[in-house]
Amino acid sequence: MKVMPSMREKRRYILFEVISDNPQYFSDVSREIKESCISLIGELGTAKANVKVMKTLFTGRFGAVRCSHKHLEEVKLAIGLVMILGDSRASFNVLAASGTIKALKRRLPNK
Amino acid sequence: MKRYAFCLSEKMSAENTLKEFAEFSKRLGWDGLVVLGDGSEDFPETAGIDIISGVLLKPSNDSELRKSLSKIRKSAEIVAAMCGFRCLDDRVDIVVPENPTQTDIREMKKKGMLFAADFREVLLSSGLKRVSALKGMSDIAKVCLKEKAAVIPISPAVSLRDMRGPSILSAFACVLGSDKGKVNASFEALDERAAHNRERLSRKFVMKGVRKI
Repeated sequence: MKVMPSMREKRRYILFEVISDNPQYFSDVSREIKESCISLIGELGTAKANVKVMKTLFTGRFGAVRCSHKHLEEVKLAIGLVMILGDSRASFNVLAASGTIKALKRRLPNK
Repeated sequence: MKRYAFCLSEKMSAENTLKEFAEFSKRLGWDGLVVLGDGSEDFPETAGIDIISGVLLKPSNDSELRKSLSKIRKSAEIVAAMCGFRCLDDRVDIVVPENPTQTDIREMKKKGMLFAADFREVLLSSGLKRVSALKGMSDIAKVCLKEKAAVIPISPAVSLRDMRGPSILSAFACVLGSDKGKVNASFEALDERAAHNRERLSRKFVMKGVRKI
């Protein structure tokens, strides 16, 4: 649903790194992050936080999550609480948070 | 200001050596590593980060704590205690309290202790256990905020997969009720405490502000 620009909430983008022995798929990462958010802050909290894992920014090792600026810390904590991805143990490291995608891409570590 | 990660030395093995813990801590963004063991080991700087020897005590009463401290304090740089009672011994650096009252926190704060929120307890629990753990920690954090006591988020890692970066632990402390400024202040307080203990354990220390040349 389209909302007037003055009523639109501010967004934050969280850059994360997937620490795992095996390469990870976007669907697994997205599902685990959303389930972790639901487990921590509940269904209503996740809806209010407007959590979305950005497919265009996912590279297999790095990715980004978009969320509301009011729920930034809760979403970061939810990302940190993920312990399993697919069938293997994995963890996430939050690298940066930014208001724009452009600034977030600048924070990506050089390969 | 240095920010320290925590790990348990008894869980180090051929699979997860000290060097691996140190390298992983550096990768996550930590400036140092506290190894909680028996406090007697002297660790060299590894992987470019500072390694501190620490002890984690779980005393059942005050006399047991005092007995342990009299032996350990001569060698350990950081002493952490998980106490279910009011711990008023100022030789303890970090306290992980269990069901403290407001008076307990006030008295312990006067002794200069730092209160720790254990992230690993939340990480490994789920459902109602996680709810009760978070509730307990947020109540303690609320009282500490009122008493202006420092709450430091720690996560004593058993394996590399348990370690989390400073950003996530800061978010944990913020969710419990603290704010970023206070979390940074608590990391700074731990750094000062570690530096003071290190200086005190060195042979050149006489008293605060006085050193042998």
